[in-house]
Amino acid sequence: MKRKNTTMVLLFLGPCLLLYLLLFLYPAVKAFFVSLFDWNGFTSDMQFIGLGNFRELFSDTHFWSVVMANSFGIIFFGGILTFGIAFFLSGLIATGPKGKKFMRGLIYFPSIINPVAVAILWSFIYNHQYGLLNGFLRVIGLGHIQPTWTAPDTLFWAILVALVWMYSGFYFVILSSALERVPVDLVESAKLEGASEFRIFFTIKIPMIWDVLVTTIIFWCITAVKEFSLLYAWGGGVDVPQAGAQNLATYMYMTAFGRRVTMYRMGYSTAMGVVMFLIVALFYLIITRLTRREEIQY
Amino acid sequence: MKILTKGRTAWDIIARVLLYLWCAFSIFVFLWVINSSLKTNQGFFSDIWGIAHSPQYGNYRKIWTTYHLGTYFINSLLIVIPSVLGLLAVSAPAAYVLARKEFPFRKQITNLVSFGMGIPYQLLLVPLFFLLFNLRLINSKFGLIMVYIALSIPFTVFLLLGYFRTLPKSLEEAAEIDGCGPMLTFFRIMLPLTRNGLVAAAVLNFVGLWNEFLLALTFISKDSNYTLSMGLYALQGSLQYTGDWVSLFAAFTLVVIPTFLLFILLSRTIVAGMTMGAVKE
Repeated sequence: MKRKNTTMVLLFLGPCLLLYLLLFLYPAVKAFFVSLFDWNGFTSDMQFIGLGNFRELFSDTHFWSVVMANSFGIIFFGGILTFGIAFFLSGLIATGPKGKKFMRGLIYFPSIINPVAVAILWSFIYNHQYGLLNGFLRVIGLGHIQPTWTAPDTLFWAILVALVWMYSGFYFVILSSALERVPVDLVESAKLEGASEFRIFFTIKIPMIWDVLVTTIIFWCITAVKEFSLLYAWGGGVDVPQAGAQNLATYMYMTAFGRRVTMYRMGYSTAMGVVMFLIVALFYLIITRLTRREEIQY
Repeated sequence: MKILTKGRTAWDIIARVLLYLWCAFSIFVFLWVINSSLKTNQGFFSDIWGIAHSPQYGNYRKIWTTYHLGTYFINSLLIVIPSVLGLLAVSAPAAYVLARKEFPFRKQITNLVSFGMGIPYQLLLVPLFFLLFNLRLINSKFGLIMVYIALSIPFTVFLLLGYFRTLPKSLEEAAEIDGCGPMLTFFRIMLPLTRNGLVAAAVLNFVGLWNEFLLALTFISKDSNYTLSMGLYALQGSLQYTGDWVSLFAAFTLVVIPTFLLFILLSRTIVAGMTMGAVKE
């Protein structure tokens, strides 16, 4: 019996672990090694430069003022907007308006649209001459304003709005089904005692869904750090995203594989991958640390 | 309920209106795209609000054949469907033994597999590229399928673990008493009982891989092998340049249709799977 069990475990776990170790963990571990080299990828000539790639990266002003700024902008501002909208819409859906199911589906749907398609859609919405936004302004008689929504200094924010529109539905579904599981009698009795909606939300509902909230926040951080498709596709096949569309993910890709201006800087690019991993790890540590304290309090 | 209706204030009404506006915006945008995809370019440029009175289905034919979206569409199917099937074939047995069998290092292996969910793909992009390069799997559908399977394992195993754990222990014991071997128990009893989990895993991964862009862009270079995301990206560049916007709208619609259909058919399973993933640690 024992023996049979071992064979089964090996047989069932083997293929999965093999693929995972070979094509996922092995390259992931190797990345830390590659990031210490100056290497163009296509020769065996790898020059060990220690932390040289990281030193170069951290002293690059473009890296801080554009790449990192945008990545953290997505994490923080995108996160606040996405979670704010997700909570707001969940609260409204919970009041049971007509067509609740339909609206729920509609809110969720943008998060399963191909992000390249989302990029196309929103570049049309923002289009200066034929776009929906400026068209709408003309209709309501504000045609003389006609802002350039995707000018270099506003591009990041324009993309962020599209990003939030795309993602908020996903977080809305998770948070609203968690909120629905909060026992009704708890909320009702608080209401009878005269607690405001606002107070009920923060002192009853949020603590009750705390574990879900923590998981989704961590998930958001990972998603936000590695966000690539929408930003890269924004420019419309130009291969070099404008500054507003550059984050760690797109800059990292350009540095290694970019098609128009290929740099083939494999070690340098991988160093950025390592930075991305470290950001996720850091957020994970901070968030789980904060949660632990909260649990004791509760 | 009574309290709710009595306490309705101006703020409640404004909030409701915002909810309707959010939904109305999305509906309007989708209808606008579909409507525009049926116009001629001239018709579109002269009035962006106008209804397409004589629908130009030719836009769809053109984008499908002349602009090769059909090829990309089929490539995506040929890559995503085997990926999802292969993924389930390796993940379901693994999740089963991790959830329900006792063996050394079980917890460590579970953690190791779940750990992958926290790794941004960009970390391993370069080493993986050269690994595939040495295996001569760059620019091959098979190579991309293998990558898709491997990188989707953490999430899928994690999701299925949750489903397998909910099954009662007595099921296996009863099967064993009836003389059902462990293999048979898995295939005949446990696997059918987690059907919802398997469907959720299949659909969520299908949608994810159908929309995947970075890995396809990195590991595929010949345009005869392009996936939909890549094809759409390439078309976006060329059609915006030539000003053939209505074709691009048609491409948008065609790319979104499969996920839309899946969503309509299986929304309950999708939502169940999503919340399962978030709630179960």
